[in-house]
Amino acid sequence: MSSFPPDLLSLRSFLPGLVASVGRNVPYACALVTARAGLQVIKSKSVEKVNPTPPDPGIRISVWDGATWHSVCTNRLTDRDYLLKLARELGSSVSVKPGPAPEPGPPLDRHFESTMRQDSASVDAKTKQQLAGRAFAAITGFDKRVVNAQAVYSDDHEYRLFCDPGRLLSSDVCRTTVFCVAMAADGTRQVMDYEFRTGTGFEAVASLEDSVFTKAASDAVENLSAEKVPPAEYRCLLHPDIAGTLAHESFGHGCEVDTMMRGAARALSFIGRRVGSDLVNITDSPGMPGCNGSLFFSDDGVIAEEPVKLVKKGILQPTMMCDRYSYLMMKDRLPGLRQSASGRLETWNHPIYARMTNTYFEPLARDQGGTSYDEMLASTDSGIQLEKMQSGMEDPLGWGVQLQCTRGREIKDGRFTGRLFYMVGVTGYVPDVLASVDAVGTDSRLDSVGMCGKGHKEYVRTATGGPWVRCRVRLG
Amino acid sequence: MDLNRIRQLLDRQPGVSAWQLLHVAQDETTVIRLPLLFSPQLDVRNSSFVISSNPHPREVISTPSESVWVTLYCETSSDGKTRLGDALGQLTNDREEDVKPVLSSLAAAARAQRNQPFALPDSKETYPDVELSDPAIATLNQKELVEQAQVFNERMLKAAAGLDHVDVSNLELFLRRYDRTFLSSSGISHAQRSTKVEAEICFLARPDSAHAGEHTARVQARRISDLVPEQIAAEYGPAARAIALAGPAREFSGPVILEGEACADFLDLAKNPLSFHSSARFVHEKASRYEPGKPVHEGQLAGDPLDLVSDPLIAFGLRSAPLDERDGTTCRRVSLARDGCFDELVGLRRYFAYLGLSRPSGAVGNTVIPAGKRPLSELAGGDCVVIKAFSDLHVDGASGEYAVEVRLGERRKNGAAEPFKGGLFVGNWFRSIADARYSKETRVRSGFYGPLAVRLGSATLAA
Repeated sequence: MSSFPPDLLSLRSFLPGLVASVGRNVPYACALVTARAGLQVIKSKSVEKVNPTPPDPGIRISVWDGATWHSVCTNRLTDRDYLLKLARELGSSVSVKPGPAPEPGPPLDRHFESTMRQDSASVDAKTKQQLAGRAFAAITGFDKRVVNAQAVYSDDHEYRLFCDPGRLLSSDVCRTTVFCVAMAADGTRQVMDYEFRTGTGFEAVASLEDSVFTKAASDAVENLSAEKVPPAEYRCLLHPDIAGTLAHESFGHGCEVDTMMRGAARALSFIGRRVGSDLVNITDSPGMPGCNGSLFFSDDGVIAEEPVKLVKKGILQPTMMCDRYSYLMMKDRLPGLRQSASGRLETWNHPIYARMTNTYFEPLARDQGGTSYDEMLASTDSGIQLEKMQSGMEDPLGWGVQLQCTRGREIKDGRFTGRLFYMVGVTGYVPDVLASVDAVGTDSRLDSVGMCGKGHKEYVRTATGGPWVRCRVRLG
Repeated sequence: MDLNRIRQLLDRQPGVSAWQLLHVAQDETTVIRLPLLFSPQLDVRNSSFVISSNPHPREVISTPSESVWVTLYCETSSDGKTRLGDALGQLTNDREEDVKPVLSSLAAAARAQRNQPFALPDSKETYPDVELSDPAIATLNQKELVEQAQVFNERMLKAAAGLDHVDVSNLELFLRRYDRTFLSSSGISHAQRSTKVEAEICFLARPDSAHAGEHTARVQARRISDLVPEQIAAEYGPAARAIALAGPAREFSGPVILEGEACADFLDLAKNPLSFHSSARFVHEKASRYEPGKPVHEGQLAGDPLDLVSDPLIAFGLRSAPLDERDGTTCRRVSLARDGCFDELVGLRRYFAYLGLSRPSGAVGNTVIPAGKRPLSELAGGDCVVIKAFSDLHVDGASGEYAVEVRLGERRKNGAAEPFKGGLFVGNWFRSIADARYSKETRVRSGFYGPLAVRLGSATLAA
């Protein structure tokens, strides 16, 4: 626990007593503590900002009464007597009801930390400022049509403590990112583009070449000559980030058990049935090391051990993403359902929902039908390659989907024609889109920096990615 | 927390030229209900479900919390010029041994910046009185807040019970009460109590065994009485039913009427690109198309010219505030578009100073657009498409381009209305408002005070 802050270490040893103080008259009690540390540097045309990350520390003490979670949350972490009082009051305020109870599982006392070569916290602020400044200068110096830019460096340690009667867990998840936005104008039109690099430690950004930053600038300048895509259905090559977002919006959100159990996900009646072509395998993997959505245990204390297989060879699987509430309420009603490390919250005083982490189409080996990117491109007679994700929105009941991509590149006879489209909207009926998947790449990448909301709120860090995927979608 | 102790530590922090402090004490209650539980029929491979009622909340959360947000300003000298840096930090207790390291790290961060200085507001700043606190919530204790939430939820469920084959599938209510105090080294002292109510209510329609649709009301207000369960149910319940029965979208070019939620999404400053182009920051950075008196729209004006005001002074307005808590500037009404042309700017005091403008605006407020001259029945007459809800509207701030999936629309032709869902509403915001006509009927919801509908004369639905 070398990098764990001393005040959180002290809280770690206090938590078992706090949870015990809730009392024995409730079926289950637990506590979660979250806090952050880090630095953000922003360089834009008019200002440079350097700011330590606000720690936003908080504790959430929860009891289960057989039917409902009752939680009390506060950020007064240093006042131990106050915390004990809150816990005792919470325990005595609930009346137990008949119902399922969480099983704490075998005793476990464990600490987890991200693996990295160089902790960003060990790098001085000036080096980070220089990096953001270099990125900004590279972008704005690229072309006189680049009228504005913003370069953001950020590093973050996300600390978590979880305690219930059986487990005492702690984690330190690190993230280091450089994100650059370039804006270009030609007197009649303003357009933008972006580029980023992300990883666990400072090594992810330490030796970035200027070409990474100027790519944002050159793409923005290219976008000045881009057209609006003629609305129609197209055969499209989806960049891994966009393919992953399609997976995320379709049978990611569609397989969150707390959405299914309220009748709002059509997938509930399709378990074991075909929802895509044989090439479609969709997985959510919380324990994948070093990705933006990675975690060691969920906010309701489930260790991230196994990936959640959502779709296998086009067939919807019964292994879904559940938080502890939806697992308790549905475990006897959904055969094959397993507790997953998917219970997550936006911040310590928000509700816990079933959420995704790192979601992707699985790449396919050649002997399983996988196709290299070059082959995929060469075998596309007519289509559009979609790049640079902007946003996505799910519709798990209607099975619609909305994606917005920064750009699309026209393909004819297996080559790019040079024709470019800006701000391309993507939609379709999810089963039709997934049934049209006719090529899935052999290689995979999961290096995006997305945030995901439950509907339009409760944002948590996620990653999307996987291989290149080819399918038919409607663009506009 | 003892604010005087923190003030003393701030005053003693070396190298600090000014400080601002925002103390926020917050009580928050969340109640979440899933009134029905669905599970598949285990022995039948079809779309039917076992549905059971769930009388208990999913979760009840109470949050008492308190934070102090401190901004330190440090002047430095670089190349013979005075420079200014600032850094924002959070304190969650007032112990000297915890506060001092935070202030030191903020001061170091502020001193590392070489920004052009600007004048901060001082004690001469006068703040308008804006009512932001709901008396029905303001004095309740935690237990009473939970009871208040449960009363609202029961009323909501009762209102939905009268709907035809429509149930509430998810009901989340967040009641928040804040006591905020803003202090500065220049003598500003301002305290305000405010409240906020936020509800997310999902209406699930199952008109028959083959059709299902869901529509979600996301509504926010300062007062709980401004969220009327019966009105919410009457708007969103039938829309859920229409979504369930809607057919697929068809290609269309021509007049498109955005009504209700879709209209507010399209015109609200939270989503429209005017907030980007009227931002003092982007004007200073020469990234904006703003020129005072220049048309906001692109192309020939064929409809009503746009008038749009950012108003942070509306009593109980969701985005109302007497002062901008980022720097203590007095908030004021700002006309962003007048008679179809760019008018004033909005944004941080810093950028007003950089542009040499004397009257900073404070933060963006509520969106106010005056009613139009024509009733909705006239705007939506003839052969047209009416869009009532988008999946998630994103307009590119820089270019104004949008392409958004339709969650619920209607194709109207020869007096008949055919509901549809899906398809992409595509276009450019600046070109679209060149031929926009606003309805006489108005709508107030979640910080938007404007027309109920807007008719865009020439628009495209891709399907």
